[in-house]
Formats: sequence, structure tokens, C-alpha cells
Amino acid sequence: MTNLEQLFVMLGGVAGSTALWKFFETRLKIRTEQKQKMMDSSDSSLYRDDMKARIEKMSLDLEEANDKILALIEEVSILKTENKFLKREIERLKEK
Amino acid sequence: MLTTIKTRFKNLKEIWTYGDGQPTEMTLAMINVFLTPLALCLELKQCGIFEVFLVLSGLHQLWCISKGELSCRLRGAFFTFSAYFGTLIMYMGSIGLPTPTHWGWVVLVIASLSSLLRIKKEQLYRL
Repeated sequence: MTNLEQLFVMLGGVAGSTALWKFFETRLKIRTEQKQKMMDSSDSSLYRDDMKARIEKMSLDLEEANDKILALIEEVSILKTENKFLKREIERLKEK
Repeated sequence: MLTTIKTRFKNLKEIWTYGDGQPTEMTLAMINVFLTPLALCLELKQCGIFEVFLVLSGLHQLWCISKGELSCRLRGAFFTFSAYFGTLIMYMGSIGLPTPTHWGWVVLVIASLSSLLRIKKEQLYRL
């Protein structure tokens, strides 16, 4: 076999192997995608996703509730201070 | 007994699919560097451009394995597979596969293809 024939065989080998590889690669990609879809739609993943959503919602509700509690504490402190001053004023007016 | 055989077969399949392929890749690369050019030169009396391609593909794959980069390993594995496929074509186009020892080239083509598929699978799952 001459060098030219060898070159053709080499190019043929690369071309043939490329075609074969493309076929197997596409098949592998399709199978992987199908497996991924099956895993995403399986019961355990749905349950896990549902749990995640619930935990997120509960975290947000907890934060909201904490903010409300802080606001209420603030209001109560303000009302306490007002009450103290009003009592003093009442005492002062009674003494008059 | 049958259940044990089925379990063992399933284990083998999982190891083949998901096991570490780097030692196999190294072996395939070293065969391309040392053995394949020698076999072609001695058996088919072909010592030319293709042998250079074989050695370069083997060295390239060894380089990629040592580098540890997945995309480089994939490229290296593809060239190795091309090299074995080309070697098989060379044999089929000249003396054929007269003895069972020569069928080893088919085994090497299958091994290099499965190594290539294993790396591609790893790449797809990492994404």
C-alpha cells in the first residue's frame, strides 16, 4: 500500500468512525434526556419538589410573622410610654 | 443460583458503564503507541503516514489523561477510536482477519468505542 492509499484509508477510517460516533452520541443524548425526564416526573421528585415549595412558603410566612411581632412590640412600647405620661398627668391634675 | 448470576451480571454491567475508564484509556493509548504500528509494519508491511497518526493519537490521549480535562479526554478517545477503526479497515482491506488472534482488533475497536461512550456519558451527567 502506498502512502497515498494509506492516507485514504486513514481519512476513510476517521470519516467512518466519525459517522459511527455521531450515531452513538445522538442515541446516548436521547437516552440521557429520557432518563432525566423520567427522574423529574417520578413520584419521589414530585414529593421532594412539593416539600421544597412548602418549606419556601413557610419560611416567607415566618419572616412576615416576625416582622409583624416586631411592629407590635414597638407599638406596645409606644403605648406603654404614653400610658405612663398620661397617668402622671392625671395625678398632677388630681393634686391641683 | 440464577438470582446470584443475575445480580453479578448486573454488577458487571454497572462497572462497565460507570467504572473509572482511565486505566483502560491508558492501555488503549499505549497499544496505539507501541503495538499497533509494529503490527501493521510487520504483518501488513505498512510503515507510513498512518503509523505516525497512530503514535500521535496514542500520545495525545496519554497527554489528555494526565491533564485530567474531560473535553480533552473525549477528543483523545475519539482519535484512538478512529485509529483502531482505521487499523481494522487496513486489515480487512489486505489480509482480512484470518485467525482468531486477528479478531482482537475488533475487540479493540469495541473497547475504544465503549471508552468513548463512557466519557461522553460522564460529560453529559456533569452538565
